Amino acid sequence: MSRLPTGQYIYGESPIHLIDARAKLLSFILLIAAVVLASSFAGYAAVFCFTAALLWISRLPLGTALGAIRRLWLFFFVIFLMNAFFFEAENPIFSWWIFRLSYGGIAQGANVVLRVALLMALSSVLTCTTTPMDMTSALQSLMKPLKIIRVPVEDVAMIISVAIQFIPTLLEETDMIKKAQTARGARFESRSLRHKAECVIPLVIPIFISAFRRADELSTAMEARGYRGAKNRTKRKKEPLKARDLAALFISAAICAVQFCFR
Amino acid sequence: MPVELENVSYTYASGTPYETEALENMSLKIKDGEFVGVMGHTGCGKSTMIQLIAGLLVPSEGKVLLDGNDINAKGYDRSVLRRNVGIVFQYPEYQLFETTVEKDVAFGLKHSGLDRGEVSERVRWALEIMGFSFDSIRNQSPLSLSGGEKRRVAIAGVLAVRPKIVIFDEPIAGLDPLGREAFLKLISDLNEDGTTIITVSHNADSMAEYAKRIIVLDSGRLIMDGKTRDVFSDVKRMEELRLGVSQPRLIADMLSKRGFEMPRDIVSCGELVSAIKERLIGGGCP
Repeated sequence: MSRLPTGQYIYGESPIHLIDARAKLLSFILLIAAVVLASSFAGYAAVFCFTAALLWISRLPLGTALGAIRRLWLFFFVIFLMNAFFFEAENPIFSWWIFRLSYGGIAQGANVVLRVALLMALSSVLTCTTTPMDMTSALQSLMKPLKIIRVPVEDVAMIISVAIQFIPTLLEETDMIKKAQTARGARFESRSLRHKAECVIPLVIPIFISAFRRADELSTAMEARGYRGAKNRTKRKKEPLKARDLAALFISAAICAVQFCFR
Repeated sequence: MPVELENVSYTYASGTPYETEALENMSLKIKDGEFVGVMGHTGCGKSTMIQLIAGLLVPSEGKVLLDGNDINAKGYDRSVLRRNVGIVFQYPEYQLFETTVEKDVAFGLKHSGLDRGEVSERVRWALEIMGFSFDSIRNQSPLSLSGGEKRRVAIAGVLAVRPKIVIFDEPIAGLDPLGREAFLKLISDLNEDGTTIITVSHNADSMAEYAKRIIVLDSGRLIMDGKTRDVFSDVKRMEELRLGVSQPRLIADMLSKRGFEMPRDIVSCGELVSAIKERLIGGGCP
């Protein structure tokens, strides 16, 4: 893979990287709520500035962290136009056939676009600064209450972490198989849609086979090393939340509360 | 069809924190009918180099020329490249996907414009070369075969296109000694018939035995390039690079040390045997 998928963990030692994953995940949920609750110009300005500050503090390379937003520009553009032209508002600036351009619509379009972009930026701050392992163990501890209704939380966490760990391996393998089939004459490089469709089977079948093979090998290896179900597994790292983590939670909660009060 | 690398550099993941330079300003020319062994440690750029030659990666700088044409130029017909350059990756068995062996081997010929009879003939040829009986294997599922058989079927799939240049990435890794010998014999036969062979390997013995030219890469640079004999005779350098010296060479040196004079340029098994013979018959027992 010559290009990294967006959202992959990027090593760093910024304050954001150091926040405990549990606190980070909860703060993320609070901040999402804040973005969704924002409605006034001041509200948007606040969450926008806060997200920008997070990006700055985390010292992530902007090109990588915001790559997804840049790549989806067409999607944003279409969403904006649809909102701008189809919003049911009075006194449109101009109208023709079914299109009605209005100030209300433009505001609504900007609203939606800004909101989605902010959510994407926040989630990439989360995933770029947290290792997948930390993320799953955070999920596991946050999902603990679900045990009451008999959700096998540990198993779910194990499944998620195995799945996440295999993404790079499978991507690499996909790349290799794609190259091998290209060299054999599969027309991946062709622009024609039919040629591209023909290439699906030579790619998907080997990857399926290999995923099953790997799953088989992994389960044997896990059992050989004494894995007997995820229940009652102990953790090597058990850390209480530190001041830094509580501060992060407090700030996020405060922003969320302020947005809620000034709706 | 000669291949040429002209000041080629390649950088992985450029513009991200994981940026690494895999090849640096490499120039190389491989002529028709050569048998080139590529050696070097893991991460030295071997895989990148062969993928650049096969047109699967596009160089960050420089040109890759096939028969004098830049394969990454805009108007270049990539199907010429695909027909003439075949590549067998490590673990080629993972690329099998069809329902029968015959169909899988014929995959590369699908768009070749050959008629059905010719395709069938090619498939038969490729499978037989790989040591199968065409009629008994053609209708089997490739997934039901053993690991070694799968690998041979996959290689047949590459050879069926009859590429003028075949690239192998660690072809003998994981094969037993007999399979290794048989396989090397096979690619050496292909080479005799005029196919250019480029093979990556860590096995100094087999490279000394079969390759005619050795190139050595280190940290993305070409550091040695020459006739197999010359490269392997530079025992000191090869040991410094920890690439290994061929066993026959070591044996010859040991014999010389004990007073049984041997020529200084022995690298392959055959040479060793004939030198000892000559010494015993010609000079008499010491």
